Amino acid sequence: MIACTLTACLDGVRARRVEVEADIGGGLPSFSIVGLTDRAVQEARERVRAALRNSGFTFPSHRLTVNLAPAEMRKEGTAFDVAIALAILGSAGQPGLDQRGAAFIGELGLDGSLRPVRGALALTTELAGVGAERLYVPASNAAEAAGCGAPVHGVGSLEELVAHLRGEAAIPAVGPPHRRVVPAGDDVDLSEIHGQTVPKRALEVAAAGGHHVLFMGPPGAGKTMLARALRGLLPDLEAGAAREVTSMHSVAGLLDGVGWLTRPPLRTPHHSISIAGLIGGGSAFSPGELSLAHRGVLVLDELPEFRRDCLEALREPLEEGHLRLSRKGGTRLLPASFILVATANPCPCGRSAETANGDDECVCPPDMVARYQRRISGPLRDRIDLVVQVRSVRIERLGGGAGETSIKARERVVRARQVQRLRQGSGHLNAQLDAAGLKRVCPMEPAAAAEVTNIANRYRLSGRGFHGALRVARSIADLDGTIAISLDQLLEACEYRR
Amino acid sequence: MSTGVEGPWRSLSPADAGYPRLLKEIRAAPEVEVAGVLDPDAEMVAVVGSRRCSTYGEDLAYKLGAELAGAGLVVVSGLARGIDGAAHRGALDAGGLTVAVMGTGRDTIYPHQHIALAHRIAGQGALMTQFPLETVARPENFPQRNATISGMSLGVVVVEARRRSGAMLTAGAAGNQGRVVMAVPGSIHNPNSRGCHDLVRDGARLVTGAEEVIQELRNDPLFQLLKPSGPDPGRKRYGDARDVILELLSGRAMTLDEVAGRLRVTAREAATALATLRLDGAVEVRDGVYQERRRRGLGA
Repeated sequence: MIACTLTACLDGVRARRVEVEADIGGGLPSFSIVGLTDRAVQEARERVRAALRNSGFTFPSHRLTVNLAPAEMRKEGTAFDVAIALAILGSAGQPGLDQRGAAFIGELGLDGSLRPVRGALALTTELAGVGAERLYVPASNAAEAAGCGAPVHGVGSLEELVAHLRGEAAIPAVGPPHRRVVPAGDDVDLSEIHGQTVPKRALEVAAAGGHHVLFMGPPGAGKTMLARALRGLLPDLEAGAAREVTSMHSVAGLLDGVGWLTRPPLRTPHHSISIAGLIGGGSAFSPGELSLAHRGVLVLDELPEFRRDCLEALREPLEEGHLRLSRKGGTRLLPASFILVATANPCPCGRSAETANGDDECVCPPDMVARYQRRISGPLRDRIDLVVQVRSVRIERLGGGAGETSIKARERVVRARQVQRLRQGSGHLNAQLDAAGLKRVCPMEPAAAAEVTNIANRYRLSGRGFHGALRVARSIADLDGTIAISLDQLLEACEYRR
Repeated sequence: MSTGVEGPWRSLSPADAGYPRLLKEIRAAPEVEVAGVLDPDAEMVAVVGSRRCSTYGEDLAYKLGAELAGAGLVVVSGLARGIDGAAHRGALDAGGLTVAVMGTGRDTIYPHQHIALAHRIAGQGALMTQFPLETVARPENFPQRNATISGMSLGVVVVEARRRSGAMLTAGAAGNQGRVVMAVPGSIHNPNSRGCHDLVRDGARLVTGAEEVIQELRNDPLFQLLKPSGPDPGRKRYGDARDVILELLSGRAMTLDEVAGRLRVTAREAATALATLRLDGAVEVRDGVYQERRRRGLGA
């Protein structure tokens, strides 16, 4: 007799539906799972056998074959356990299991308890999309999976689930995902940074328009602190973005099961990171830092110290907001739309910026300095709209007033983003405007328009460079709440471009 | 038959305002005719040498001409073959100003191979002669011409010169007029450098590049003569925060944030003020640091 259950499998950061078929036939007792499975799925045999027995069922002593369809798709992970167990029960003739419109994900413990899986939100979203009417997930994945588009039931054990499917016990559906307040963590509040008027302003402009920022300066100037202050200026994630971010973190196994993430992520990989760690990969696919920073902030401290292939890998996401990963089994398009905040020393020893004024001695030979700066290639630099010099604040000025808080600045950013949403549609920030879009949304006051050629010449701006300046000017105007770009706004933008 | 430069020529006597300041100071300052632009207060330096010179000398003269002109000095020479021509060309190619003091009347360019060069000089500096029309190239005229070259200059750089040559006469005149005499050394086997070595032996300053030439000139008391008196016209021209910024940057290069911090203004105010200063060419940015644009020439 054949029985069938519905489940899903992660494919990159998305999911695909999988049907589990179980067949019991004559022959010597055996248990095999087919369907292009990895080792974790093969081991499901032992987990399922023990879980069934310990939940009070008899494991069929016949020739048992389980097929995971579609058979051509590579399957990995432990989320099939529950679906396999139910398919076996069905094929063994367990009476009264009502599985219509139901789908199951979850890993089984030997005692029959359900354990959480990676990517529950992605899996349930896919299942809801292909028509599943009720979803059964491990209890600790329920908070995350709720809101996938179909009722979600958090299940504690296999025994409880079978009783429920027989109509003997109720498992209530969980409510909509609660949006939780994420503790500040690594964040730095603007009010903790003394002085640094211009770098702070650059952060505000970056947050408003989604522009990438490069802070240049000697060690100890406070570049890293500034970089970690950006997230605090960003508004909470909208529902769609929160789903993407939560799903991504779930796939990476970084979710703690409390609910959806509502604050933009902040990722700060070290410069020793490998290319796979940055863009994602591995035999059991895991998203890289670029994707984990999606809809949030990616801080790359000491940008020139990163490996060359890592730096080049940044170009596509910086420009397109996604990255293409070609691996065995095809090309995957991974979301990677983030604000980059990079920091760099002017030279390997980091002191050459001070030398000009005789404060300290830089010992780097000039050719080494040039080579160091060339590591950030032209195309990469071109994609960074804001380049700001940072110097240490002198001790005597450290005592000054604390300045405004991040929350205060965030209010202005939120307003500027509302303006952009009305004008450009949701999810299109100024930083993503192309030439045609710029032309449409950047009317200029006559005084500004008259100076455009002069400015482009004097600042030696290429076409691409000028567009970068214009995008920043647009964000500044949005912060000011003006429609046409004024000369002052344009000039300010130009000064933030190297 | 005329091989001269047509352009509008004008006469200048030592009493005229447009007459070169330093040339006024020499004994028997000549009346001259000039075609082109000649700033009487300009800082000038002469680069002279042999007509028959080595490639080494020619390259060096070209480079000196270019670098001195690039630093804002006016390069003076005699339009002759060899070193003179190379120095003029260097200055022209660097986009600077150069003055050719001719040993002929204004209707004759000598040597005729330099007619094109003379036209370029008239457009990017000046041609100058103290000789009447129809004066052709004659050896006895050159010493007077050489005294004019050194007379209008703060100093004379001799690039390559034989022991008995026109360049040595220019150096001698320069010494008599109290101008700095500088010489570039060469190979001891090269007869073209023996004059230079003699000059060094006699107390001329040994120089190997434009930087050293500028240093020598700057140290010379004569340089003070050319310094404009009264307040520096570069300051106090805006009547707002920009003057303060210029004052700040004249002492020390600063980042945008440092300027904003010192002035206690917003990022916007500092950025727009600096932007207009950049558009005016009063301030430049190197490696993200703002500095007052170096006044061209010797001004320290």
